Amino acid sequence: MKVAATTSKGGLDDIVIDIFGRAPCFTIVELDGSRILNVEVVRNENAAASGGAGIAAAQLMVDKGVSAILTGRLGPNAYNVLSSAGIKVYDAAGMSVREAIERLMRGELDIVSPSGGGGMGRGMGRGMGRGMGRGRGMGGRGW
Amino acid sequence: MRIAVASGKGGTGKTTVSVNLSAFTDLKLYDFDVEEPNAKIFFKGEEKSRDVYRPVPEVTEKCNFCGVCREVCQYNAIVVLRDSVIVFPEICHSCGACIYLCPEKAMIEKDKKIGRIVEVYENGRCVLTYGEIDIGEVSPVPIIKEMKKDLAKDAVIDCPPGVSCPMVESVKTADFVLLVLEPTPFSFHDLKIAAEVVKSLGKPFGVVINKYGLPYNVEELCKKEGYEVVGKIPFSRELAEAYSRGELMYSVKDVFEEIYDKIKSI
Repeated sequence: MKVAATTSKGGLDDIVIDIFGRAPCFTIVELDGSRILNVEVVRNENAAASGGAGIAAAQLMVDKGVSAILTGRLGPNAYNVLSSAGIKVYDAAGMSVREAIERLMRGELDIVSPSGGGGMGRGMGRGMGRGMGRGRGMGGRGW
Repeated sequence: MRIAVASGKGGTGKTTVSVNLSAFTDLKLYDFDVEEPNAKIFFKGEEKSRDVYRPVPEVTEKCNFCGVCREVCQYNAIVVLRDSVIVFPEICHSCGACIYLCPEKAMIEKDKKIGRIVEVYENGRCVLTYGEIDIGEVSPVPIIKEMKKDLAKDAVIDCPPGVSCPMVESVKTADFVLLVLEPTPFSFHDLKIAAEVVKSLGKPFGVVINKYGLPYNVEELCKKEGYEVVGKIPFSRELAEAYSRGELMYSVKDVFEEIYDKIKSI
């Protein structure tokens, strides 16, 4: 399986940062069980996009075949895409990528729910339901 | 004559100038600040409203999930998964690229409501036309464009603040631009930027100083920049009180009449 972490410089020793769509880069780790096969650092071309950065980052995760994401927070649009694609998002902000992966393997990480409100996606596709965008997550995380 | 009232900085008195200029002349009033249309506060008439739409893409059964649409989308408004496509209408700018370039012709246009245009009538006469954007919409420009279609020949346009697309779209249609300035460094700073925009659009413009008499000498600064001051609304408690009650500035009616005469002579 492939796991992606939001990082500033990339690599197993870099720290997982708590932004998703505008993270400078993604460290994508390929695992066989808990054994690390490969580490790839992908620059986030959309980090400075005027809009839809989270959506573009989510598309990148889909394209890269990632099945779990290690980050801190993400917006409702990105969440919408990732949940439609069946990609799980875990809170690992502040940990090193290596530590986050170890804890993920041990089932110690919490699932992230989207921050902020709004953001309705409208999905269409074969097989109704899968493509339906749901603008979940009202209210954010408070003050 | 179409006069656009802009300023750069918000809160300098665009709506005050627009409403009063319209009231004391033959210019019809339009509020193009569709994100915060507040000129309507001055009126109590009956409203007639119509909805405004813009086209957004919708995916049909013909889609084979090739991904061309999301590659051509400059706004990240489309996601293509293995067996589904997600469109984010709020992020879509209605450019039409995805529909035009879809190899399967699998995308169609669908109208999405983005706001409305409202006419306010007092004693059977339309005293104000304002636009209102729906919450979450990306751009006021399509609503402004729609409003411009029915714009009267003699009009005063209350423009949105700032100097980006909505302001440019509003100013573009005018024969003359009034820039409203209050005597503060902030207002003058932003007015200079607005003046640059107006100049680059090739529009003649003049400055109205609101709250004239406050100590910061913007008149001198205007002179230095070569901006013509076409009107001065005095700083007075009486005017502020009238404004706070939603009343017109009858006591300085002549100021607005003179502004109009001056503009006509330029």
